[in-house]
Amino acid sequence: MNWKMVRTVTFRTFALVAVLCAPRSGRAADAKTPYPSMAPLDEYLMADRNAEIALARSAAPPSISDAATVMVLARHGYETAVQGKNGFVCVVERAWMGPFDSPEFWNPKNRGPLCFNPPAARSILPLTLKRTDMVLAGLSKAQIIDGLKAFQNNGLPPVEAGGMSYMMSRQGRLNDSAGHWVPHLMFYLPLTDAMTWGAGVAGSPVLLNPQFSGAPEPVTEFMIPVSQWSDGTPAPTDMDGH
Amino acid sequence: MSTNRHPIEREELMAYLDGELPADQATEALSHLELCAECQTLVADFRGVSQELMAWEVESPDVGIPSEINAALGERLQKREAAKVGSPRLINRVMTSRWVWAGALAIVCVVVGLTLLLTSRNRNEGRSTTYPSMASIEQYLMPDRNAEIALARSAAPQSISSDAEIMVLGWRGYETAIEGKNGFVCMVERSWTSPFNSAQFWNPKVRVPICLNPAGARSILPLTIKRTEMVLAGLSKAQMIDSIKAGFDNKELPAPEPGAMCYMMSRAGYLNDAVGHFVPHLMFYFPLTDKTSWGADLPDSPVTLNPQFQGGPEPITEFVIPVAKWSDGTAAPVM
Repeated sequence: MNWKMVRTVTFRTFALVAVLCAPRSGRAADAKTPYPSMAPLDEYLMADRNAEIALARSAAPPSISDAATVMVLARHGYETAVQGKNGFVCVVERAWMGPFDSPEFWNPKNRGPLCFNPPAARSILPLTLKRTDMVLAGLSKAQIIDGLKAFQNNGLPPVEAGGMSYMMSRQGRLNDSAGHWVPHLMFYLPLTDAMTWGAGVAGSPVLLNPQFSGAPEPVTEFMIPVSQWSDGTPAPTDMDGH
Repeated sequence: MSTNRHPIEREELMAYLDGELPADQATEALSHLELCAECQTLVADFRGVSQELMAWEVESPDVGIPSEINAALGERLQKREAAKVGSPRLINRVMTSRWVWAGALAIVCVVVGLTLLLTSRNRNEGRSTTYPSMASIEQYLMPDRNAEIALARSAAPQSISSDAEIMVLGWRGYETAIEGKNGFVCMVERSWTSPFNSAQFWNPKVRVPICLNPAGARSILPLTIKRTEMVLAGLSKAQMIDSIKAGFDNKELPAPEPGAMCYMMSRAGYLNDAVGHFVPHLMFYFPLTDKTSWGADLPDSPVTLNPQFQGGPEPITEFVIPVAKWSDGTAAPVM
């Protein structure tokens, strides 16, 4: 990979981080760190369990999510609300699944519905569960990072080939800036260079998601926008959601 | 077409061609079309009829009215006019009669319909055995090497393909035309990378631009090269299948590497007679697996299963995901 390519990938990744992680400029003007620490737990929970189940299912077309296991967030972590039959697992992730340096890491409004396919349910979902357990136990970011590193050496399964997930919900809220963004699929690989998939270069439909990328999880995550929401309605084709 | 043999009706095929089918049914139609020679013929005929109707114009008569008849008609009309001054002219009555116009229109429709039907039948008879065997090698080759290089590169955005290795088809197989720098390999596949039971397997018009990523170049490209060498060596389908099976058994052929994928975003390609250049898409390769592991081919799923390999005989599963733009950045139709 030449330097021009490195610069391009770096720039586009930075731009994506800006879209996915940055707060609205107006809000930024009010406070540089609008979410400096964890809000009260109740703000992250959804009072209506059925609403959370429906939101989780909205991540994928009903032909997939209707038969999926659905997990919901409770006071002590995620718990299975509906037992599935097809190996997919749908959950609504919270803000702490963003990069640790994201200014929205503690944004209590974020709701990220996604449905993991079977390989990802076995090898990526454990990261969501682990982070969440540590957050709810009141650990600091530094402690959570240490805990995840330890988890890699003891308990975290390696990324399975073919691990992917659906994020096609139009009801989700990924962050203050992007809202529900665009429907997309995500693909998980052991830590690798973005250019192995041509991610982030000009004209490529593949994007690098900065969610993990070795900080600290040894996982590379690619995203590909798709043309429809999970309900079959057309979606914007521009990646800025317009 | 009977519903017992085909999962889609004629009317649905027409709707598919018009882009009016929902995504899940369109996917099902496409998967079926890939393998069904009868439906491919039907699709080609539908397209042909549509094109002919679009191009159809009423032609002027080649033969003029002989001067004697013209003169006689003129004389007769003059006599009638003289005899019936003040009454409507016959010609006006005729021209303003709705029944006459309706009758004429009906006759024109019958004539056009019969002509198209006959043309369609003739074509049908020719197409049922369109590609029964390999054509001459020249028909699969591209005489302009630079054109093949450009076509290969059109599979991916320039930011990827400009640094990719380019392979072109020669008389003895694929050869490297340009060395690459980023690990991607771009080429133009020919029809024999289709499923062995595809009616298009020997279609010499097929040109499939593809850029394999590094993992795909290491583990999927060898299959294309192997099939091509066997084709050019004149092996039968049965011999090729046996050889591929043996290649996997003795590890001569690799299993798909994790992360193997490719770009197929060319608007200049020709995938087969039924779909033309199709829609821009990416493909992902895995050891043989169940398509439900990616939710492929389910209603409203953006993922479809490509039947290219799927154990016939290559033990590889290939998923397809359409994307919004061609490699040149222009917007593409939604599948």
